[in-house]
Amino acid sequence: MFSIFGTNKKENSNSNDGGAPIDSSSVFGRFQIFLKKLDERAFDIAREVEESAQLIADADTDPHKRSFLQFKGAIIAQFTQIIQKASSTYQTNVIPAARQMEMIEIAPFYADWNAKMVEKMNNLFHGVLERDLEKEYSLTMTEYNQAVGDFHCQQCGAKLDIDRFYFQSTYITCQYCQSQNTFDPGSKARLIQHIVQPLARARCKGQYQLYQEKKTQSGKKKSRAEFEVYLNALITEMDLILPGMADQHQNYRTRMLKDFENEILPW
Amino acid sequence: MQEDKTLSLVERLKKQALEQKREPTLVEPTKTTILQCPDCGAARAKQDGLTHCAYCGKRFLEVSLTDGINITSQDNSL
Amino acid sequence: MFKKLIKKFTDNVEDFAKDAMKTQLENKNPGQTSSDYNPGQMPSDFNQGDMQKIFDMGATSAGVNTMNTATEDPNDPLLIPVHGVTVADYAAGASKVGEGCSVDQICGALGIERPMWDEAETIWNNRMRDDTTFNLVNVYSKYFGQAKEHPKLGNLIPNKAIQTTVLPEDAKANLDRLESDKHYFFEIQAALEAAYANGIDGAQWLIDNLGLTVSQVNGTGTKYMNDFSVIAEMMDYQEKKKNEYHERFSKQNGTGGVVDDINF
Repeated sequence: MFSIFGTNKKENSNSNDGGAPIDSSSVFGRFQIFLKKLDERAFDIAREVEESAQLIADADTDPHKRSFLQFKGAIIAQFTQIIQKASSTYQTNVIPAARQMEMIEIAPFYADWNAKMVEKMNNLFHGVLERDLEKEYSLTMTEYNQAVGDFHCQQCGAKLDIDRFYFQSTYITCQYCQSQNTFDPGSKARLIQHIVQPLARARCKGQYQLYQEKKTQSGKKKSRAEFEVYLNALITEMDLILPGMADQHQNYRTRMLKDFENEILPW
Repeated sequence: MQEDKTLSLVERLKKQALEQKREPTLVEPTKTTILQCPDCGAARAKQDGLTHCAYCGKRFLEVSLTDGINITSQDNSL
Repeated sequence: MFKKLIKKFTDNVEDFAKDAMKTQLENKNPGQTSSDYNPGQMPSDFNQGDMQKIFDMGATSAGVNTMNTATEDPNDPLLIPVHGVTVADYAAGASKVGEGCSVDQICGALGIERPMWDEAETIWNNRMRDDTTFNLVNVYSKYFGQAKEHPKLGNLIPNKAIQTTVLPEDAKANLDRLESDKHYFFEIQAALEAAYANGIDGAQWLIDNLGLTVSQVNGTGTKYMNDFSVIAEMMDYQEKKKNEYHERFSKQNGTGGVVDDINF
């Protein structure tokens, strides 16, 4: 079968990987040649993307990684153009021109090509680490801890004890004069709220994999225990990353379990 | 520019994305402030609650505090 | 479509209002042949709003609410204000922040301090994330779109204007047009899609060309987005506009015709 990106060099001869020559006079043959040219174009793009995608993610200093996402969106759109060209050519040029007998070969060939191209597109950025969440978290915590070591009560001047990580503005009581100081942890600390879930998930990959394995083996219903182990680990991490949110995280746990229940209900 | 002409599509997209101008994101630093009553100058003490001045009664907040995360309904001044 | 809404939601709640609209507009997968999507198959339902009713009924039977069936029961624990900040306050505030107002401005107008707002934000977001009926997020979306009617926040003007060469009166005119002209709203959604597909930052394009933020644009459209018959009705128009903008942007940016030279 024709495999996409199976070779590293461009093929100049009109033959597929199986070795048999393509009949460039038949509709099927012409279509194969056409798809191969699309492959080559897609391959060129994919090669460049694979070389530079991680560099772009690393070079993107935007806190929401918008530059990387902009690049990614544009590349996916290029692939989409390729896929759509194949699709419209198939509909408007190939099907009307092909005989019934030819379609028996052409249809599955195209379906296979299309599936492989879509998969290639979906996997283009697979190996790219968009954000190094642990690193971001660690940097933010270091900066935070350095900053809070040096705050003083705005009323009496005594050292303020900021006892833990606060990701929101809050009131800190001065131990000496009891005045409430409003403490603002700054934008970077606030951002932690936005990365708590993916960060916690990254830390619980092991438990998640165990759950996935059990699910593949015995189905979702029978993997409830593994799911709960994963979920509990996830909640523990979330509590560590965002202190003071235990109640909120319990609600999240309840909701995740409810979703799980709903998904194993027979329809 | 001659340079731009020789850049491939992927390289151009990369350049464009990394050089994209955007609205500047506000970066607030870590800081502390204190609220002194504008009428009598007193600070707010923990035991007196957050909503009113314990000394002159001036109202600081127009709302009732509920049980949130660090702030609770106990923080309403009496 | 709904599952995608749910998945997106758990990840980033405060962008939900924007994402909900974007997701609802993403109706095509690459690789689908043109015969998979045939708008001609369901014409009459749209005009009578039956499509919306059918969707609402289906959603309700699955225990899920849509914007139209969302209710505001005064006894609903999920609707209890947080430090006096109601869901309407929070939604309007979020909308205003999207417009460029500072959080301090919002706090001042609501008569609260920053810690209250921060806690309200966290708690409202968490409640929305964990509400499996989706009632709360639909209530939120409604108020997000009605921000300018909020008694305390409606008339707030950003103390820091966005940087654009578009004149304020032109930006206002664009905003008014988006509010009243649904074709224009869907055209701009199409423009955004086409921009991103051509490597252009759509949000910045909005600022540079309309003088508006994404949040402002999406705020004008919540009323269209609560009606699936409108979305379905406008699908073709949006697709047509997307192709027009795609032509334009791809020429501008050299991102079109990646395989124009390859022919059968």
